[in-house]
Amino acid sequence: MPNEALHIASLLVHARPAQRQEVAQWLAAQPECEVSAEDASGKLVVVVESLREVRILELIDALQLRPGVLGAVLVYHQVLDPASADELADSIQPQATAEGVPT
Amino acid sequence: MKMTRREFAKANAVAVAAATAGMAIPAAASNLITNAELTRLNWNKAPCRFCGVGCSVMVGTQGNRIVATHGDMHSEVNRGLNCVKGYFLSKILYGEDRLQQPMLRKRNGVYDKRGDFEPVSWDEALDLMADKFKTAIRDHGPESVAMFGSGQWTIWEGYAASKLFKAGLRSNNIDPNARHCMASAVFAFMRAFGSDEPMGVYDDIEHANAFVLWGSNMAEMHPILWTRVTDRRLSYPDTQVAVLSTFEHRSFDLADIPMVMKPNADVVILNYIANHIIQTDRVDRDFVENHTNFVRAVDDIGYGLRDEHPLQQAAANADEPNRWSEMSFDEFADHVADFTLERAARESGVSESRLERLAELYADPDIKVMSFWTMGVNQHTRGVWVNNLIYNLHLLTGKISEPGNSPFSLTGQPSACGTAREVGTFAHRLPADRVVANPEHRREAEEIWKLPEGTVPEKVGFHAVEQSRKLKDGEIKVYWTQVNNNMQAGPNTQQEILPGWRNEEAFVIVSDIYPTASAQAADLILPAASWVEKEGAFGNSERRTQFFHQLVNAPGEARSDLWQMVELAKRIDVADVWPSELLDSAPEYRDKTLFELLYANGQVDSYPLSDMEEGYANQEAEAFGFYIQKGLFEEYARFGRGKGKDLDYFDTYHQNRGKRWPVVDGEETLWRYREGYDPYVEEGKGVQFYAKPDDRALIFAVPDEPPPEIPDEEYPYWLSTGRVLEHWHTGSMTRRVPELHRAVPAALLYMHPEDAREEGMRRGSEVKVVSRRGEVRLRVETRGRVRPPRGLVYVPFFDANRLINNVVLDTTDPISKQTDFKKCAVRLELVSLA
Amino acid sequence: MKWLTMLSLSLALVIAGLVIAEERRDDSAPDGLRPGGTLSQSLPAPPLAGEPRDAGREVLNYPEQPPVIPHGIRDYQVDARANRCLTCHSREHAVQAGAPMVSISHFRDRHQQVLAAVSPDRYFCTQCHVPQTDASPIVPNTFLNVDQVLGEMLQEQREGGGQ
Repeated sequence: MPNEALHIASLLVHARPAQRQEVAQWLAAQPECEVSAEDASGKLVVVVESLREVRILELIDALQLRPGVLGAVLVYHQVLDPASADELADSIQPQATAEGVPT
Repeated sequence: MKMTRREFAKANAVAVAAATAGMAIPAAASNLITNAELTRLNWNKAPCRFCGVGCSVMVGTQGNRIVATHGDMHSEVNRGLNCVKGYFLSKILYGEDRLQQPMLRKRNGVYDKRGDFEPVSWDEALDLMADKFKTAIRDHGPESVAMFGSGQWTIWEGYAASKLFKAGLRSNNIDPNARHCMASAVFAFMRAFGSDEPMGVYDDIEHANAFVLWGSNMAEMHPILWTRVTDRRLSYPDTQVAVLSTFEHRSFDLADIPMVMKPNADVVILNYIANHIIQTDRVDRDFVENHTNFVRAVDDIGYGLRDEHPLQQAAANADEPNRWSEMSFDEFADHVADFTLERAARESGVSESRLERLAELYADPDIKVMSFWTMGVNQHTRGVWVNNLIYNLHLLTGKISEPGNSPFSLTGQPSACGTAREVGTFAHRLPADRVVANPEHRREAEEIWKLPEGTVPEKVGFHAVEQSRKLKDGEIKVYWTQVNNNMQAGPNTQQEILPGWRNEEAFVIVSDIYPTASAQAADLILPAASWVEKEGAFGNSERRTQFFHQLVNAPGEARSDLWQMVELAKRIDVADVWPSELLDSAPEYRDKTLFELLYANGQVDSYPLSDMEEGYANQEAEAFGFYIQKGLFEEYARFGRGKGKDLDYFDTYHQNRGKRWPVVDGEETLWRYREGYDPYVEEGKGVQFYAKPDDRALIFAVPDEPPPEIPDEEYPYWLSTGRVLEHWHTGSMTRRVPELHRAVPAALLYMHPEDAREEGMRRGSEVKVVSRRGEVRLRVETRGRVRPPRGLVYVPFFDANRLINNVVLDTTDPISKQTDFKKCAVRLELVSLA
Repeated sequence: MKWLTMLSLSLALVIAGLVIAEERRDDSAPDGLRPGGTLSQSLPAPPLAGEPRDAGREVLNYPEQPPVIPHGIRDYQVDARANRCLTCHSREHAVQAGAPMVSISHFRDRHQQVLAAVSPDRYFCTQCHVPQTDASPIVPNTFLNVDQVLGEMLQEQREGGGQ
């Protein structure tokens, strides 16, 4: 198993609609994460991209403490080999499976 | 546009999260995905293919392949969780040996019972079937054909099958494998409440302070409900869990009151608890006086063995076991007074203190108690009685039909409720609690089906075990099984089932997706489509109806069970199978096929293909030219509307995560029979058991009667059979998933280490398990997940190479005709010590 | 191939069976999980499967799959009083124990609220995570993960384009 792993995860964050923008701004300022979608009901899709798995957990923890956040859950989690992460996806070989982690 | 792996993973991450939240896929992600075109994963909901809990899963498809599954967060049942089987659903359809073409035993180019299997076309297979059905009915009458179906049929498959047999072929010889699983629960519901299926829902779990498992290993057999029980127990420390079984199993890990009882002692324990409630003056007098009646069940009812068996001959009421007479509360109190704490402890082997704690869970008015049971209760020679005895406790204390107070009968199969019970695919039933023996019920069915009076036969058909016997006796000439594997799952394989299927008199057809033990014993094998290879609907244990779309195509020439039945119907004329008197009363049908009579009848075929939701394939609808699933469902739903079994309209179910019937004005019903929850309860009644003529539920007085076979010197051990978490029933799907197979690769003989030592055996020894009926070879496990007490051994039935049902006695509950797979007598012979 | 061991074991039985069997029940049939044409026979039981000694963590088939357990768990206590699995896999102990931490998805309850500890509804680990013996598959499984399906589709596209 490679020691290095690139974790790509998406979180579904549910904020109070009135505070959604505030939460989105805070998220945008966090390292290794980006807000990929949001809607008027207060839902935000956040993608985390990190070499440290614990970073995902830290972000969820931090979100829980943010005012206006009702909940944050992990939806998707894939682990890539950083060495090949920037190779073109359509050169995928059958063996090149995403290495998994506990979900 | 080219994408890197990183970009691809991120796009996927966004798409999955957005889909989960029901949000539109954001433009950026959607661009990435559509530009990469091929990389879009399609996610759709579907109920799990396995047990009766009815978890919803999200199925990810790519092209024509299932590539992922995960728990559906929008499902109230499982909220994103699955058990290990559910997590591996993606792989169950991909065993290398999927059946892809019909196969017929042939010699010299023609069908021969003793021939070898050869691939044949669908036309050849179906033409031969039609010929066999017509010939058998012409020469031997409609009772010479039979079908064994399934609680794993979709709702419309069960309905189409029931119609084909009961109306088309005019034979009530159709029974589902749910007979092995739920029949005792069905009969007890009808006896006590006049309406099948639980009054409560899974939501009761989050309201209860006490859970009692009566012969149910939920930790392995209903894992996701067990996660909810575990959640409640660990989150609210005052909650209590009582587990009663004839052996220790994984559910004991959470038990506050663990109880291992002697086989058959549940009758005594339940009667004792009723006695305890009365003696300590905790009967809810008001409830009992206003909402219940007391009755005494007939006793000495036999054991469902063949009529000539001495035990049947000796039983006074073997012919009519399902009768009772009125009695008073005082007489009932007298009856249970014999069942003292001391007696219950002595006969069950459970300590008095534990039994008393158990009794208090019911007696204490401040405790909300939920009772769960499955096969330990239902697969029991007195299964109906034990079901009724559990209801007695809830009725005596009024702990019923309200949040947290809930007698809850669990089901084993994904649509045991939806298909087997609600559709009425049993040999004695018609849709929505109707029965063939009732002339009014038959007439109602004939009217909905637009058939002349007298079409549906009155005589109850052959139930599961009787079908095996009638095959062996040569009375059944054509036998068709779908979505079940009775050669492995039915009792007394070597003496009854195998000789019956291989009887020269019989033509046996098996529809399945893999070459199961049953397929191996067939004459004609039909390759089936499964789960999301077709549009389907299942009904779970809490009355929830759930739909799924066809998401991938079945491989090769495999076709759904529905397609197979309807295609057969096209090949049989009404005049081939109906007597002339009936044809005379409906001359318009004389020149029609069964297809026109039953399916293209102006009702089932009244929904055009344009009604189908865009973007989904539907192999059968496209084949027949109309939306057959919708037509079957809407015709079937007419049976239940206004009768307390109301279903919603077809299209709504594709949009939601299911609804619990009765669905009235679009609203589901959580607690039946209670005002404020159930729209059928009249105003001011409070509680109303409205399916009974006087609105009262029945409390049954039943005695204790011994089992038909008890260990003796020659056969000194009790044998109980059952399942394991990792495998579904006979393992035909799960044993083809490498991860599940490696987890539990073979059935083992679970026994007490002291018994093993006395027998000169040890863990790993190869042992022959022998009964009066047959034998099977197994390896001994003394430290496994099942920990039997001395004198009892346990063997799961998932392993096709270790057919434990060779050994099991084909005894049934005389009322429900459900086999007792939980107790017979065996001896152990050492083959090698290892 | 898949029936090689079973075949050699059952060959003797088949021969014996033909001699003994009075009724001829074992008509030929395709192999499945059980060898075809053996239904009336009592097949020998294979020895208990062994636990793999130093199994590495296995690649997941898809992100949501619970990982299998790459070590033995015999006699692990997991009940209302103690959970042996968490003594290594819990958030506090995972790093020190060199074990993968329980997935962060386990720190939310039924209502998706995140908790400080593993949610009680995830408490019994073996409902989803199962150990693996050294048993070989009886029938191969042809499931393809998403990358494999994509690879096949792209290849088909390329081949299609070249014609």
